[in-house]
Order: sequence, then C-alpha cells, then structure tokens
Amino acid sequence: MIEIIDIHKSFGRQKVLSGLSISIDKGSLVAVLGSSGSGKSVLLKHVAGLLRPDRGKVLLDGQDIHGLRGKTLASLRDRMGFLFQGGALFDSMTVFENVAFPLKEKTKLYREEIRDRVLKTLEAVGLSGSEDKYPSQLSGGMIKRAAMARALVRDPEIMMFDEPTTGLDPAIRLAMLRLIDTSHKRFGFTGIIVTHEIPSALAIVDHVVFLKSGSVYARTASRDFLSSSDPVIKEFLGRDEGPEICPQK
Amino acid sequence: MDPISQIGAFTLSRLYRMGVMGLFLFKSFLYGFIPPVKVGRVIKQIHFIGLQSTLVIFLTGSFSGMVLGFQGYYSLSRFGSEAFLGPMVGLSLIKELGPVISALMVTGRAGSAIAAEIGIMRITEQIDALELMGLNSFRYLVVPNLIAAIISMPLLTAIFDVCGIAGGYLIGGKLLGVGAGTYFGEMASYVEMSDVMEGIYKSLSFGIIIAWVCCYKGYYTTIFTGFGAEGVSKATTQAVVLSSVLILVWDYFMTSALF
Ligand SMILES: Nc1ncnc2c1ncn2[C@@H]1O[C@H](COP(=O)(O)OP(=O)(O)O)[C@@H](O)[C@H]1O
Ligand SMILES: [Mg+2]
Repeated sequence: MIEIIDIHKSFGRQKVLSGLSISIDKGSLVAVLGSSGSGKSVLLKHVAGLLRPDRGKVLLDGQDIHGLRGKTLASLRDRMGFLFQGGALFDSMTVFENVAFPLKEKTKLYREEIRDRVLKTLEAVGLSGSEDKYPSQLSGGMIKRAAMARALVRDPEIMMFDEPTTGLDPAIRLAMLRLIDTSHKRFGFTGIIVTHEIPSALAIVDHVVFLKSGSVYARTASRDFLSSSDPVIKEFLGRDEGPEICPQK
Repeated sequence: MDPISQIGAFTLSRLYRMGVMGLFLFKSFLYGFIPPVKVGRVIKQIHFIGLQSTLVIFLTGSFSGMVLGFQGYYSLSRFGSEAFLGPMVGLSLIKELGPVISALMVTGRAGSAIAAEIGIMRITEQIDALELMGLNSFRYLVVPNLIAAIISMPLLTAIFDVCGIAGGYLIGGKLLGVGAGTYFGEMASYVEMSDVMEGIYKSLSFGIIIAWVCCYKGYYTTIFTGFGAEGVSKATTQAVVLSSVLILVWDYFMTSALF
C-alpha cells in the first residue's frame, strides 16, 4: 500500500508539489495524468525516496521511506521497481548485463538461473537478439524496453513507471501496456504509472489521478475519466468545447 | 539583496559545499573500510588510473629528468660542483617533482575522465537507478576509484622517479660527462630513506586528493554545477582545476611539515 500524505516540494522559488495526497491500495494500479511539467516525475521520485519532500511524508506499507536509512532503506527498495523516463540504463554494460545486474548483486541465484530469467524477461519485452548490444547502440524504444526488463526482472511488489510508452511506435506502445498489465495480474504489484497514453492505458489501471498545480485535481475510476464533465479535464483531453484552433483531419 | 547579505549568502553556500565535500571524503573512507569491497571494479580502476597512465608517466618522467640533467649541470658547474648532479636530480625528483608531476598528469588523464563518467551517470539518472536497486553508489563508484588511486599513485611516482633519474643520467652522466660512478655514487650517499618516504607519503595523499575531488565533482553534477552536458563539462573542468590546486597547496603544507 502506498500512502502519499500532503507532500510539498519547491525547487528554489518554483513550487512543484503543494499538498499532494494519494493513497493506493495494495495490488492496485493507478495512472497519474497531468500536463508536462506538472510534477509527475518529481512525484514518483518522492515515492521512491530519491527526493525528499519539504513537508509531508510517503508511507510504503506503513514505513516512512524518508525516515529510513542504510540497510532498512535498501531492503525496502529491494521490493521496488522503477522505470525511469529516460531509461537510466548503465551505459558501460550490455543489455544482458543491465538486466542481470540487479539479480547478480542482490540475489543468490546461480549463473544459469540468472541467464534463464534475463533471457525470458528480454523475450517478454521483445528484445531477444539484442542482449549483447550497448545502450548507445539502441533506439529510444529499445532502451525503454530494456529498462522495463530491468525493472521487472526481480518481481517487484511496488512498481513505478514513468512514461513507459512515450516515444514508442504504436504497435510497441500497446505491447508495453499489455506487458505491464500481464505482469501486474501475475505478480500483483502495487503500482503507479505516469502516462499520456489515453485512452489505451485506462484499460489496465484501476484509478486515474489527475494532477494540476502540484496537487490532486481529481481522482476517478478509470472508466469514468473519459466521460468526465469537468471543464479542466475536458481541456486536458483535448475535447474543449471552445472554437477549434487546429481542426482534426 | 543588499551587498552585505549577498556576501553572507555566498559565504554560507561556500561553507556548505565545503562541508558536503568533507563529508564526501569521510563517507568514501567509511565505505572503503566496511566490506564488501567491489574487487572487480577496484581492479578495473587500477587498470584505468594506473596501468593506462604508465606511458604518460614514462614520457614526462624521462623528459623531466633530462631537463634536470641539463639545468642542474649548468647551475652546479658555476660553483664547480658538477659532481653533485646525482643527488640534485635524485632529491628533486624523489621529494618533489616525481609526486607532484605524476599527480598532475594523472589528474589530467584519469581524474577528468572519472569526473566526466560519474557526472554523466548522474545526469542520466544511472546513480539513482543504482540506489533504487538498494545498492550503495559510493561502494560502486567512489570507493573503487579511491582504493585504485591510493594503490596506483605511489607506483606511478616510483616509475616517474626511475625514468627521471635515468634521464638525468643520460644527459648529465653520459652527454655532459659526469660519469656513472659519480652520478650514482653521490646519489646513493646523499639520498636517504626518509627522502624516499616523503615522496611516498606525498604520492599517497595526492592519490586521495585526485579520487576525492574528481568523484565529488562528478557526483554532485546536477546539484552544484548545473544540468545536462554543460553541467558535466563544468564539473570536469572544476575537478581538474581544484584537484591540481589542492595538490600544490597540500604539497606546500606537507613539505613544510616534513622539512
Ligand atoms: N532536480 C530539479 N531541480 C529543479 N527543478 C526541477 C528538478 N526536477 C524537476 N524540476 C522542475 O519541476 C517541474 C516538474 O517536473 P517533472 O516532474 O519532471 O514534470 P513532468 O510532470 O513532465 O514529469 C518542472 O518545471 C521541472 O523543471
Ligand atoms: Mg516526467
């Protein structure tokens, strides 16, 4: 269970989060929507404990992540997976080594078991055959998929996806969402997914949280989001009733 | 803001950074002493900082020694004491030039690369990714460099000294005719073990300075030097400048303390 309680965060004079609270039940997957620069990545980094809030706290299964240090923090993070917006692959390692790295460093699995698991995960994200490539030799979409494999390979209990599909081509976008969905159903992680993938992402999440000016503007069940009558959400969805500035073809 | 509070704010931010930098060194040693040490990465960094610097050290050492051979010979011959060329070359290399020039060369060659590599890992969130796997980024990135620099610097300095003494012999002893017996004989009788130890202590501390400053500058790229490629390039430049300045300042203090 993830409880984000009234967090505030400023960078210099810029206030990014102001009193944001979200609570996510164990095993459910929540989509966080909002325009670019609304603080979605900053929010995820707070949940992971990479950024410290000016005020407020984040509880993961009741533990305040910003109050933990050293071994206890590490063991909480062992149960967590994070897909960075930019992938954050280790660029001195091949794709295989990247995905194998958390297993090699944090588990006592044998070499063959690690190999099996890595290859299986890479196959699931559609990267079979690219094991020996370095991140700089991959396209943006392949980097995202490799990063996804690395995040999922340890069967995390808490998963955060920062724009898993942005910059991918349509077929792969759907495949990525399907992958998130199947692994969510199989492992039952509690998750947050930051995405602009509307409407297809709505099918795999339980709730939608819409951010505006650093706090939660609205929270709806996923099926109700598209039919929302709120003017701000309508504008976000591009269904503004005002004059059409760029008519769609 | 009025000028007084500007000066105050500037001073406070500098003091804060110095505090962070001090803490950084403390943490590096702390995680260096608490196992597990990442032996594979230590060896990789010894290869990079040490082995790959040997050619540069060989070249700079030989030529420094050859210059010393010329300059020393001309200075000493004015007093009719060319016979002391050996001790002069030996002492200046072992006590001073060897440790300092090797450290400056390693800063330029390896230190800049360390700062850039860690800086790029910072801006591309690789350090965050490491921490999120429940791994300690100091153990993976900083400690191996520190240990590798502590091991490599004295050895590189020793190579520098040997090349320099040989270079000095080539010029002073062979070309200008001091002779091997005089050159090495006088050197052996005037250079003491304490001089050699002084050089080793200096090179050890320079190794610490290089690893400390260059890792620190890279590690705090986004926070202190700005974002993106520009942040990394700034961090790299600052690492080289700060590390070089600190080496010379620290050299002065060590020399005056050991005098
Ligand atoms: N480390 C940082 N330092 C300063 N400002 C930051 C930092 N990280 C994010 N910001 C700012 O916070 C705002 C929200 O960023 P972000 O969470 O990345 O937006 P998005 O919702 O598109 O993911 C942006 O205006 C960004 O410039
Ligand atoms: Mg973002």
